[in-house]
Amino acid sequence: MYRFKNLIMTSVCATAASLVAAGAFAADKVTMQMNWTADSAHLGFAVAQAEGIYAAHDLEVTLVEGRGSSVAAQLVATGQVELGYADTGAALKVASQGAPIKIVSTIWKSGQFGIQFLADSGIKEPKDLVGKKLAVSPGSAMMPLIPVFLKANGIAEGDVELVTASESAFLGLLTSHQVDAVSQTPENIVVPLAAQGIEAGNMYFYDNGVPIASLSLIAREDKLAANGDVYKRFIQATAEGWKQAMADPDKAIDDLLQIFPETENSKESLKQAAVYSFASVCPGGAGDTIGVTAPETWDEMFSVMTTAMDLSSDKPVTTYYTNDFVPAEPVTCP
Amino acid sequence: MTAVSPLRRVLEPILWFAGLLLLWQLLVRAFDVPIFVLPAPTDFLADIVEERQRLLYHGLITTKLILIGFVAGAVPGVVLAYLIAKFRIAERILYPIVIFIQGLPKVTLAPLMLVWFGFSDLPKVLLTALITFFPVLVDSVTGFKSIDPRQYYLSRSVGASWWQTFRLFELPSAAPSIFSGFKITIVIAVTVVIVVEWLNSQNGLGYLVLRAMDSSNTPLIFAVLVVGSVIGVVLSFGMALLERLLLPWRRY
Amino acid sequence: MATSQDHHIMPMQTTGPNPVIYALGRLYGSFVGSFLIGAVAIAALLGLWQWLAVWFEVPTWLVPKPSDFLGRLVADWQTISYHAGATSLTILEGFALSVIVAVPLALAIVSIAALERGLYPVIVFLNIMPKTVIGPILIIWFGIGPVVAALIVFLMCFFPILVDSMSGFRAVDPRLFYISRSMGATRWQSFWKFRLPAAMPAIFSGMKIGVVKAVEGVIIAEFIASNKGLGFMIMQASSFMDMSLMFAGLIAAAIVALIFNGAMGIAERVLMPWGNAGH
Repeated sequence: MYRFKNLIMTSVCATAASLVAAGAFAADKVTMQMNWTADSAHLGFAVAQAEGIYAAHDLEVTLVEGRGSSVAAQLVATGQVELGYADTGAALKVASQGAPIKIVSTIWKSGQFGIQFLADSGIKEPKDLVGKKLAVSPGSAMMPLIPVFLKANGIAEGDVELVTASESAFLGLLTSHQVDAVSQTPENIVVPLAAQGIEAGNMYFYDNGVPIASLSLIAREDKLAANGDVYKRFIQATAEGWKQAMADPDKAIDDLLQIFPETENSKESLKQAAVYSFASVCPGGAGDTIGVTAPETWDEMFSVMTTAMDLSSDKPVTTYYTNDFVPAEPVTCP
Repeated sequence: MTAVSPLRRVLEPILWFAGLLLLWQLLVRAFDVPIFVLPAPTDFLADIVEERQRLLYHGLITTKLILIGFVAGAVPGVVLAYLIAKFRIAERILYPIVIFIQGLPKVTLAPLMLVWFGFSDLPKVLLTALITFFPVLVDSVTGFKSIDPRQYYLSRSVGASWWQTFRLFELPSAAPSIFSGFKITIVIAVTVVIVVEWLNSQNGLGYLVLRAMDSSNTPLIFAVLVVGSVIGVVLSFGMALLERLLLPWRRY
Repeated sequence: MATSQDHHIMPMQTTGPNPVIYALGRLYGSFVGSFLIGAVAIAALLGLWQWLAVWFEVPTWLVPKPSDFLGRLVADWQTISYHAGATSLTILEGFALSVIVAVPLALAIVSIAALERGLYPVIVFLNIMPKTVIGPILIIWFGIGPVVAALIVFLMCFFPILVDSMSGFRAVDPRLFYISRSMGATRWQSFWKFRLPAAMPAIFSGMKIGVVKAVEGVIIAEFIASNKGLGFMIMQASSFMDMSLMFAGLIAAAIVALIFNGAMGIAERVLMPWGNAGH
């Protein structure tokens, strides 16, 4: 009988203990809609997921591959997901239609858009483009930014010869020297060329007078108001994930391939693309804050977007973003 | 025209097909066409074998979606067709609406559905049903309208109830047209589902095409094309078989 | 006593039927009448939509109201008609290409038995191919643009035109050839003056179906493979959540479809007044 009482006591204690433990580990569920299929833009998230950083912040995160930045932004707007990871320009366009979404953290603080050229073309700075041929794709996001870029660097529009071509032709045009430079992203130009053994250089619009943020985290206003703490933890964990990814890129790539086994990108191409991805996360170099864009920079970006990118200027830029949820202690770039 | 043996009838198209594939293979190799521009048949056939698990997995998902979407669209189509054929008022009011909606490109609603309902199965089934509904409706209306009115003299004179009239007179008369619509529509459904999956899905052959495009894996795109065609052929034959079973009195 | 005559003679009425009701009755049965009823039905549907959207205060970025998108149809008239023009051009190009390829091929297949036994089944099989998957492949070759859209349209209209042309060429009465050959007509004259006109109704029937398919398919083709045209415009609008423009585009697409199908109907009356239209 004594033993029986003992048994009851221990089992009650055990149940109570496990209940308490379960309560303590009740994580908040968050679904993040990605902008596209997994690539170097998602290394930080993969690290945070695989290395348990989200779990350590009591978050149960699901990362869903996507169909474009606009779709991701819209899915946030309709409440299908808690968070979206989408291009700032696309997100702002959706927001300007009235969708109640806000950018809560800018991951790729500098867009990937820029100018790429072969290493032997003699181009090092924007001024070197004078008198050269630059290929631009008419429907691309880069097209409207070119005039802004030229103006910001004191180059008259007539000084650079603009050639229109479709993006799939860019690599061919560069390698056959029919053009001196193209306007695309390094991931799509420099990396494939390197795979063929051809060296190419890159200059970002961001560093050269045209600040545009790219991929950012978006959330819906009512959910932010209701679950602000969850979002804070997510952004914190994500920033830490990116920091760790930059410290150990190889492990980050392994994590990405582990979380997204269907991805078709090879380790090699991911490694090279990672360089540019990290450069976008930390355009200011070491010591730059991950995930935060200062209000002054936002103002500059807004003026570029309203003049060159058809964004309506009805509402001030402050309606579109908020820095209220970024980590109190900035997570800095290594 | 000289009589041709049945064996030759089957063999000749196969030879032509094989011949075309051979020509393709030779041209690709002769001009050294890169694999991501135009893969040779050996490339994508090898891909089919290599990726057969993946193709099977996604292919089954697509097939399931086709069948569910088709039924979801065909059943209301036949029902509404009956109403339209029988009741002038229904025809007058509903048919113009049907024609108008038919002219709208419904696939363009896919991104809209994605945003409203997410990546779940509902929008995919809904879209497929929406698109299969119309051709089935039109052919079924033709079928129900082609019923010889004298049949009703017969059915009424033996005192048949509505259900009996429908089952024994109206449906069998309309069935050839209805099945004709089915056969055409199920093939359309294959294309539609693949597009819908491309835009709105995280699995299925359409999704596979998207992944293949992403990584310039052109052999995989061709492999999906082959698998999609096979599914189309199988479903088309299945429908013909179903017709043979249900309408044994039809002669071809 | 009632005689058989009574059934045929309209009894004289001192007052005619109410003229309004009579007119409505005539209208009900006529073509114009059914068009009007259709228009009323659609208008009622749109009215219901509008009312529901306003009543439930649905935001425009989620579901547009008829007033929104019909308004955009007028307001953005220039953009929409530019894209509608591009779409129409694409339809014409794809359709013309398929006629140019399908009709001669149909003649060849019908004339050469080996082709009919061997090539035709292959074409039937290829037709089952999901043509939209060919889209990505065409994009790799030609880049995104109206060329790819026109090619997809070509693939979509090709088969109906081929099949109906074949049936048209096949069905020509052989006695026509006795006549033409006995008059010393060359093969070319035989074809041009006898065989082709005789096959025209069937070819035209195929072309009508082809246009229907072209119009259906062009939007999807532009959606996935072009940078111009209504399909592209709809896709862009939806990607920026500009739902009003998107729905306005849908309506424009339906109108383009109506115009093309209507044009085919008129062409039929004009080209073949002898009334052999369709099967």
